[in-house]
Amino acid sequence: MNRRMLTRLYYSLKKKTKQSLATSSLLFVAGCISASFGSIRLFTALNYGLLNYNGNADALSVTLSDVTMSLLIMLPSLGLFLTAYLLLNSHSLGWKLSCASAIGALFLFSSHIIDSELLLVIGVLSAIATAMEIPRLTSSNKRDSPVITENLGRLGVTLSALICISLLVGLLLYIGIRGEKYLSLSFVAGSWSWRHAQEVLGGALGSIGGISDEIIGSLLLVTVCEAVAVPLGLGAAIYLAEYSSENVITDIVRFFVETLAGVPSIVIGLMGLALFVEQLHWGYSLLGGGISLAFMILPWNIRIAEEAMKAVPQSYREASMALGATQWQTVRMIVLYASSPGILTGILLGLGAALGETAVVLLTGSGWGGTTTLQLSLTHAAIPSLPVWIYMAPTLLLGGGAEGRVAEAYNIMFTGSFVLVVMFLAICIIALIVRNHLTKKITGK
Amino acid sequence: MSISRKSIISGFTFSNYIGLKSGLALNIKLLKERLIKTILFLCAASSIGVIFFIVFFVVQEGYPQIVGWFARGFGMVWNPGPYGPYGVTPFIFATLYVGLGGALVAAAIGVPCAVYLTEFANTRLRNVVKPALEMLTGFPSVVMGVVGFTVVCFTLQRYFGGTGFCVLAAWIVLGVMSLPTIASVSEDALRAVPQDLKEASLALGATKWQTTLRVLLPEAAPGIVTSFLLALGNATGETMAVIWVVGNVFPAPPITLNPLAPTNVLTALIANRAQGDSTYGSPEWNAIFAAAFVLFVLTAAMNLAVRAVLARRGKDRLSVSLTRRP
Repeated sequence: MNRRMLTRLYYSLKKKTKQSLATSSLLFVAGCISASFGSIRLFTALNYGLLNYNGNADALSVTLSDVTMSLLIMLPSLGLFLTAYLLLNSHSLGWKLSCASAIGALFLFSSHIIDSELLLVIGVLSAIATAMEIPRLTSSNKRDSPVITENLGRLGVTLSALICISLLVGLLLYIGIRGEKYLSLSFVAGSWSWRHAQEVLGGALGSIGGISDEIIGSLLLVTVCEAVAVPLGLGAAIYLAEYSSENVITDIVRFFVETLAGVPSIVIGLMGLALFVEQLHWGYSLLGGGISLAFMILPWNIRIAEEAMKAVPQSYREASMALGATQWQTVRMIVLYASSPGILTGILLGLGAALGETAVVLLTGSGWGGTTTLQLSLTHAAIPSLPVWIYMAPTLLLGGGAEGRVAEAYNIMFTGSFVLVVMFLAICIIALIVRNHLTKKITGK
Repeated sequence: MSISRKSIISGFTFSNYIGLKSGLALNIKLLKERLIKTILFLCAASSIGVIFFIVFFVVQEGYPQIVGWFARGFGMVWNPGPYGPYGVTPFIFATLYVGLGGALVAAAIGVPCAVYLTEFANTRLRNVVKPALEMLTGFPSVVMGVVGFTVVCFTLQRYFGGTGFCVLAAWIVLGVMSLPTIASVSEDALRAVPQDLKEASLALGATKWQTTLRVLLPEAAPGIVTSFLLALGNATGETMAVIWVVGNVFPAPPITLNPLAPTNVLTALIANRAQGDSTYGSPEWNAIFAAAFVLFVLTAAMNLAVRAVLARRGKDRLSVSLTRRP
């Protein structure tokens, strides 16, 4: 910072009124308090984490929670600095923000949710600033600078996009970090027994086992599911997009498709439980689970395929008709071909969603027993499935001498989650690649 | 040809079907076309059939309890065992409270994020983030649940005491889970606003932010409201993410607005009670299906709200896929 900058700063401050200088410095002090408080916490947390991590899951969780919390403490300090800046430039939002921070800090202090005297100081400082701003509200000159509003808006949306992206990336990273500990070839390819895993966790030596049966079971379930959902969904989409004009029937069908999309998965699971498990006496089974999953992703397939077909230019159809093709020939050879990128993407995304679905499979396919052996039977045996394995893991692992190894049991559960997430992401990425490749091939661009 | 086109385009009548009205002899080609149309119609009708299946089985198993609720009130305590009473009022309240909070958390981050992606982000960033958001709408909910369990609940427990299982944890988990849905559907809605409206506003001297606030957002409001309602339906019907973090308070969850109180929601209740404690056909079994019926009605009402919002304005403009994650 050289001398000229200081002079510039001095003159720009000199132009401000004394009052705005006073109120903004109050808020600035409050912001400094909150920021130093937060950064001390952040450093302590990071220090602890660096000293104790070494693959220790508990230390990881502690560090993560402390870092999150200290960032949450530092976020208001950013807001306080912003308020100080706004007050300095007599922007009307500054008054509202300082009012909000006063109320928020005093409320948090009085309700004892966070016990800290600093909250009281921050609250009082912003309350004084708010009170000092009141006379200015009634003055005649209240126009806000549009440049500041513009920058504020930009800052706000950028910040929320940053939060959104970092939350989702952090989610994936966290699963990766916790999942890599037990990840090995034998974990993916071996077979699983809860009893054996309990013993290994409880102190016995040996490999923990593997979840190949669960992976294959899940893949079988989504195969059955797609075998039912794809023909039905595609047929329905062709009917809605090609064979009907907009009339009452299509309206009704669309209404039911949307309603079906809104039905919670657990309700579909219960229907499967009543129909397949109890009334048809199949018990928990591959076919029952697959059909119930198909009911769940049917609307997904219909809507995406219908939209893909509607995006095909009308001239393609007219050209085909003019050459003497029947409607079915037009649909089969022209429309389906031109819309195949969209349709395939829809099918693959539905596949990914079905792969991760737990509630339906729990009630119709796998049951609560923690089934781990794969029996190739459509209707006579419960099918092991990876999401259900993840759901059951903490309950079924922590027994038989392994009660004290909670963090390790969760690590094993996270390894399963990691495998599931990798499968899910692989399907999604394949969907994207297929879409880009086919679009290029069809449009020739 | 012209006659067959007409009969295909116009609705479907019996005399058309057997070819009497057209005056043509039974033509194999025509018959094949009509057969195909019938098969396709049956496929389309299958979703109606599935809904009827669901309603039929849920009502068939649950009607004694549904009748009971309407005769004697919905009750406050879910008494396990053969005699009941099975009260669901607190569960319904908590379901709505948790779902609404989760959708609000998602909207608070997701809608500004969508604004950023449409208006301020550069093309390269958008081309990466938009497909990623679309992909993540189907993220496995059980994984979301275990992460919430080990991160969110753990943090809340360290800082606020208690067990860490609470409404706030469910809000956060559901918020992150609905984030991709809200962000990508809102982005589609914002993108669908005609370019000339925006240009007109900029030409009048409005700044980019003023244009966003006064032109873009009001124009895209139906789509944004739709995305919110979709996320609300999502959050209300979510089982596996919530069951890990909400606390599963069993006989009588408190009716409270305190976000740090543990509670229980309908979906978690169903999942927990359906696990073999209640045998097929027992009164509690009926009550579980009746609870599922209540859940079905709640989400169907939200779906009707989506239709109402879309019917009022901008249906043609919003050419987005409105299918929620299943």
